Amino acid sequence: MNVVSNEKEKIPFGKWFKRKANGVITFLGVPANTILVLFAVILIILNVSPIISLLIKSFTLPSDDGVTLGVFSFNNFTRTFDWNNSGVSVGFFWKPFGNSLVVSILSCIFAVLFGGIAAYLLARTNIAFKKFISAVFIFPYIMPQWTLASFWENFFVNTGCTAGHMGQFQAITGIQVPQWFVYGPLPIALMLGLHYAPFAYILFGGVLQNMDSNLEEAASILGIPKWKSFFKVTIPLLKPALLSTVLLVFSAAMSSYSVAVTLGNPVSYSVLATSMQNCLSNTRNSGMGNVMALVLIIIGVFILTLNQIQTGSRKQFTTVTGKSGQITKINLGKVGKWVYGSILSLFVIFFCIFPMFSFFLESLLPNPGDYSSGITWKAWISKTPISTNDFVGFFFERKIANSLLGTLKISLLCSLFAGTCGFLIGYAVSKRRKSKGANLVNGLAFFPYLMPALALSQCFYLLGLNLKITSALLIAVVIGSLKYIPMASRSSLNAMMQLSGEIEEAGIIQNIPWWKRMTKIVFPIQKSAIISGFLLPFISSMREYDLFVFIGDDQLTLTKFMFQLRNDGCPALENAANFVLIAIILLVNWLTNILTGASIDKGLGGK
Amino acid sequence: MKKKLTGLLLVASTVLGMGALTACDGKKEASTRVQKAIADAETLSHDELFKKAAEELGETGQLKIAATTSRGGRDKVKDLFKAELQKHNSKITDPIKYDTFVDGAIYTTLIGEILNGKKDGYSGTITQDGYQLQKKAIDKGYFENYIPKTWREAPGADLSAKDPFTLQYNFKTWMYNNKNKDMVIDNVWDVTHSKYKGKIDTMDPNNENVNMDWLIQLTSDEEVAKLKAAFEDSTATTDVNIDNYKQFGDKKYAYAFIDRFLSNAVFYADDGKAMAHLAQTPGNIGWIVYSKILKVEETNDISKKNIVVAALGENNTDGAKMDKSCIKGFGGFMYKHYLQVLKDAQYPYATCAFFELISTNATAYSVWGGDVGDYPSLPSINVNRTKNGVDKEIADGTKVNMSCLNDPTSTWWLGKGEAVVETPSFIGAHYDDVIDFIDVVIAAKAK
Repeated sequence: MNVVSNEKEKIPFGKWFKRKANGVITFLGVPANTILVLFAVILIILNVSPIISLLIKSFTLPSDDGVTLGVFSFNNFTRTFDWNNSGVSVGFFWKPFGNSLVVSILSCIFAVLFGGIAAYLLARTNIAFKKFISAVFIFPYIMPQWTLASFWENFFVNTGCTAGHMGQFQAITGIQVPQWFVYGPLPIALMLGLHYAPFAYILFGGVLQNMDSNLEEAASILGIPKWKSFFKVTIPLLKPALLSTVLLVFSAAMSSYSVAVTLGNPVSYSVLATSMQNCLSNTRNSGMGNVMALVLIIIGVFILTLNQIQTGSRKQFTTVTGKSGQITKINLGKVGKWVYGSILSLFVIFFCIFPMFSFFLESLLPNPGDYSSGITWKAWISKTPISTNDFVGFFFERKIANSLLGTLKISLLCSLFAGTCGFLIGYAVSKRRKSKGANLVNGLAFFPYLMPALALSQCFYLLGLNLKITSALLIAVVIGSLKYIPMASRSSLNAMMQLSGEIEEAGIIQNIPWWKRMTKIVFPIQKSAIISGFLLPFISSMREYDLFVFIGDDQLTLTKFMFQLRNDGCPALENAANFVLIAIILLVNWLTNILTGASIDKGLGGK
Repeated sequence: MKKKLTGLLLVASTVLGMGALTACDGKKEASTRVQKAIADAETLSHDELFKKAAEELGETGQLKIAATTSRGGRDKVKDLFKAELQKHNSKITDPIKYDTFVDGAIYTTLIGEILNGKKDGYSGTITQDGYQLQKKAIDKGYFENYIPKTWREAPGADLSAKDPFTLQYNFKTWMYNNKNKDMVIDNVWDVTHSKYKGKIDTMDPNNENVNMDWLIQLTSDEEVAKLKAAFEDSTATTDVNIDNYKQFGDKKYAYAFIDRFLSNAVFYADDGKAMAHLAQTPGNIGWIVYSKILKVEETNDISKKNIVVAALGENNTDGAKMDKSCIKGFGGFMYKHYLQVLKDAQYPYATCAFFELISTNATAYSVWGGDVGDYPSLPSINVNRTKNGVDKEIADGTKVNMSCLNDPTSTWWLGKGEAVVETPSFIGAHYDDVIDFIDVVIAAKAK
């Protein structure tokens, strides 16, 4: 025995090293492993910095200059959580926190209802107007959140509201809707639900469109009624998409700022994000703002963990096997398909087209919401200054051209980086889904989504200075890519989870190299979902503001310049810029569709 | 165990390393190069200063200015600056880069650059918010003050604006929409009446730092005295019980006013939106930047003739002839745009030259001059706006007097207008005393 033991101990270092090295080479020989290791390192580096920064600021008193390190203290926590501090914590944290939970839960319900119903009707029925509905349903996601909120306010505000005036609906009908319908939790949740409904629509739609009909056919052959088949077969198949939707919507709604400001401020209804933003903007309360940011992150991590547990425990539903047959479509009947189609069309016209039309119209108005003297095109075509700020019309304003160019550059680069990283992460995580490494990378990839954009912006600005990075464009692309990887990786992961391992295995048996398997097998099958993973970061970057607050000057992006226009009191020009921004996004979506056959709304009957 | 310990140490060192990086606690290098340049610049005439600036910049140097106002970046100013430099070096072609930031970001940007020893960063700033200026920059020695010789020696220069050096006063004021001709606001305590709850359009002080500065400034002895006098004059129109604030001693008038004003206010994210709302809502009151009134376009439903600046009243036909203010208490809040040189400025002479130009040259200053409510610290370069509202055409083509546009001079506002004036040193010293109270009042508004 001793001899054996001694032999074990006396393994030469060279041999031991070779054995270990072989182990590592074998491990890294699997592309999914290499991807996971690479992204684990990159994401840890990029995530650790803002988290550490946030923790430091939470546990220190704000320094006088707002940049250097303050003194260690628990004061930020006591000010935030202590019920007995003269109502500050109640007003700044507890009430907004409760409101955020209510709004987020309602938003999830609305998003799942709107997106789910639309996806189902388009993918699984013979509803009329598919092409139209499919094309415009994503508009609310493309539009900045506040435009939806402004539309709602302008349309329904009335003389019966606090600080109200006559809105469009009252002007047309004479009816005053109650204040709770105009301002407060219900409209905030409704707008957020509508804004994020395309998430549900895209994620559900992808599954419903690609799902193998064999499972439903089997239920049908066994004589199970349609409704039972829907609840026992279809809904469970949608569970991964449902969880992803709830995760994305809840986290996004919890940290959403602009809708709550527009529809909450007039009635002093604040949510955690608005309270946090106010605190972060104020030097003295910035510590409380950082604690609130931590709370938002902890909630996000909790949801993420729940999702991980579900992902780990759930049965795998292979819905794309390469053997799939035709999807069974429900016949709504000759009249039914027109009735359902008309109702859904009216819905999307009101919520998806009207807002665009309304702020195009606003760009033609002399004063916001004032139609009394007709329209004017000067915000578009005037070559002479249209305000005391010397700004000329949209088509001739050099600063708008510069900032629009900046937005396009940043958005394209963010889309490219976030989309590629997200795709690779989604692929690797799905391949190694039971491993700790996959869970780690999956969690890390989602983490930036939970970080408040403003906090990220400040942190990366300071980090850039420390690292002597002078290019605002570079910092913006890094921070944008990081922030939007979650969207791309979720989209990719959902697609990959539906993809049977057998398909790629067939390629492996044939000794086809990894890159060829990806480009010739995996990508073509799930092209629509993967390209969505590129489009989502593009859209989000195009309309991002908070993330770039500390990066570069006011002409870095069009949204930053729009903020300047708002500050300077040029609402018509701001609306014109906003309209063009959205038009460009739609154009890119359409061009992508023409050139690659894919688009965000692809696959839901919109072909 | 050893493995775990090593791992733990690795994590700890990473954490500390990253923490140090993100905390941005860079080393401060004491430098007198900029101070010497400023001291020298303060002795130079316009031509001498521009000669030095031209030498400093050379053919390729570019001065970087960070500002919270976009006006200084207009071609008119840039071209003038270039022309002045070209008198001394005709090869100078692109001497200035002017970037605009929101006031929440500008201090972080500039202090971040200073602490990281950035050599080619911003040399000067045009900034606002007395509190941040005092606490973040002046008290810490990050900014240097420069007073142009030409400004100091010019007749009528407002010497109270020299430290920190002020380019201009900006003005927030009381205004109300009297389209229905059924209201008068002639005492600041009127806005605290419970009948105006939800009818006061303004910005959230947590979102707009100068609004917070105003609230802090109200607790100064001078403003408390004004509030006391106005309160005693308003007993018929106010429903404030001043005894509820007796714990604040002599300052109870300020605290009572702050409490009731904030409770009645509706907060907007920006003044443009507050102004738009006021313009279309008869019966509302605004506490808004005066110049925003110019953004209101004449239409059939909305007109500037309906907007009354409380201090000027409805019958003001010539700002130069304004007698006493039409509102008791105070007519508005004078906040400022400050000109400061950064402590490690790459081009201190060029910065001083640029500041000298915009603070003393009427053509350069004119980019700010068209707006009511903007007043230079050198009154001789002010643009006369005292009759801006006379014979103004409204939507139906008729010409009317718009009382709100006949803007008196800064002298009137500071005297008879009884404007509250932003004083960074006071705000910096007393901010912490008042902010807790303001936080509690704002917190109590939350639903």
